[in-house]
Amino acid sequence: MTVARLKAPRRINIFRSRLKVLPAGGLILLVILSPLCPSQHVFAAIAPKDRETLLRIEKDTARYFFELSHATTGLVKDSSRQGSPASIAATGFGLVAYAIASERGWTSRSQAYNRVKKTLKFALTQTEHKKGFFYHFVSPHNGKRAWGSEVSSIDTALFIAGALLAAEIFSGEEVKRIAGQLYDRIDWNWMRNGTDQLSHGWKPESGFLPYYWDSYNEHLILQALALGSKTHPPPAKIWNAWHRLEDEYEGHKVVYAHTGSLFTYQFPHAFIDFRTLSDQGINYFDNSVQATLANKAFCLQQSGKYKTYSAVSWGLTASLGPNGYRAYGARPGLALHDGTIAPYGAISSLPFTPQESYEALLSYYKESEKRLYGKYGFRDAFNVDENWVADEWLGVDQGITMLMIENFLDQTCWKYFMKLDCIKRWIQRSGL
Amino acid sequence: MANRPYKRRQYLVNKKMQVRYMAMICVALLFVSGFSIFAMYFGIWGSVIDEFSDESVRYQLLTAARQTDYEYARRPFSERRFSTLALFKETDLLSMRQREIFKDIMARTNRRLFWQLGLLAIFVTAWTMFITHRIAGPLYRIDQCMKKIASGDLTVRGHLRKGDQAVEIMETFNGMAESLESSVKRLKQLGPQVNLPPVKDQILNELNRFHTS
Repeated sequence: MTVARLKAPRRINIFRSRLKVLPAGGLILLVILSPLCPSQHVFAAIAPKDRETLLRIEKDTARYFFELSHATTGLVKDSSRQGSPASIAATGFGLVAYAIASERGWTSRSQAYNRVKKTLKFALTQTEHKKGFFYHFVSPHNGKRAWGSEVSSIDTALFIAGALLAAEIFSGEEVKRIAGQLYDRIDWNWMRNGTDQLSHGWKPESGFLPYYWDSYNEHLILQALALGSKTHPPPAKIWNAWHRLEDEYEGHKVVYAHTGSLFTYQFPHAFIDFRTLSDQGINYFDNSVQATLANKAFCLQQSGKYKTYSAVSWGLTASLGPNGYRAYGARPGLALHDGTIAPYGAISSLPFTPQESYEALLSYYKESEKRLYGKYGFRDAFNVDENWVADEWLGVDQGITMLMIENFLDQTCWKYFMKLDCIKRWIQRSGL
Repeated sequence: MANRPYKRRQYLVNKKMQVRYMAMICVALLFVSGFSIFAMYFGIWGSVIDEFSDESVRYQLLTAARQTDYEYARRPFSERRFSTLALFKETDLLSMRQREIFKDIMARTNRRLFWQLGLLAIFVTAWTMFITHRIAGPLYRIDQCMKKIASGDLTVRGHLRKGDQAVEIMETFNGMAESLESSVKRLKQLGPQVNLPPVKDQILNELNRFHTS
């Protein structure tokens, strides 16, 4: 694998000396740092063999959405575990997965298009919602609220982002129209509950949750869609109403998320191309690069305590663990960790840290003999210290893995998503 | 022949016949008992395992427990209230433990059943030997007695043990032998009084074929 961040666009293989630990035909990647815009990274020239490896993993990961979505409703299960409810966010990722699978030729266009259309139609007409916001978890059979879950602002945003992106990739009039209807009916302004910040959600029994998106987090996608709405937009001031707390770890300055979980630095980037956007001097692409490097540094610093962590096994992020689902993370942030690593953590940072992430990916891939790789790609997490490997896959983790590999390879999601009018409106209203 | 306690020393009195009967009975008994054990074993264990590992209930509990984890993972700054649902996370471990326990119990049961089946086979063999002995012994005795009658020994009497099959047949046989012997004995006494020398000799010769007391 070869990766370089260069000041001039030239092809380079800085990993030539490491061929002993890497397969032949290493990834040749070119990252150009434009002198005019320090954040304008451009990827190019991935070696065919590495591209093939990444596409194979992406395809296996996409299989989750084809096999674990309901045949009639299109709703995607939260987990591969039996009895799992559907996750509205995973369903959104699934919509993109179908569109990409069609683009890649893994399925026919008509089959993928019909899946998207069926899912969107069901969401529009049958899936339970409140002012356009969906419940976090719903029954895959009938779209009704499951397990007393909340009407979720972030999960609805991820669903809508997926719907709009899939519709844009397909360019089909009908799916575009339905996705537009779903988006336009959402009363984003209502989700403020009269404050300057967006609430995490709402429950019929108790009203708005007492938690608000008040600091840097994965909610950037929610902010973008809310501010880009032409039907129920919140006031533009909400963009500046959340905190951008900065801290430093091992020389990496990061506007950090409370948990320090890698997914918070990745989810919005699955859709939004932040490379050219600057928010009050902050470039969130660069920020995610620094957060990823800090996460790796934290793992290395802790590698004496946990056998799981190493230079090729890192990436603390929310995942299953030996004792249940946890918001694992690194510094800066809470840094909850117990030696559990989710492969999607490092892999979904491929666009940020191609070299480091690809090394980790290869290392995990070699672990396939140890049950880490299965029919849907990498299982959710593993913990060497506890001799534990998750026996399931989670929908949203599959989704972020697939979209970020796709963005790394061809920037497909970014290209289409950034064309959306709502995104242009958000950029304009937030002054990015 | 005086009545005397009759004890057989040899259990395989007619080896060929007795072994044939033993084989027939053994196969029948083993088939019936084997089928019963098979049906009961899987029937009972099947229901027990079903009762103790209702997957749908387990998955529902796990899902409910997972939701509480999700909530807290998303809002770790919130106060984590005690939820009994969290206890059900252990359901998965419990299920794994259940599977181990069942595996253990079944291995132990299988071992015990193996020895029990061995003992059952020994018991069935011994029992069929005993049963067939009770049938084959008397038949053999009757056969021997009849052969002696055929050879002219009318003094022969058969005696079976109490509880043997065919005791009544043997008694009938003894009655028949008694009657024959009595008739022949009488004829022997009357024979010398016949005055037709050639006929008399022939009659006596014929009667002397029979041995009487």
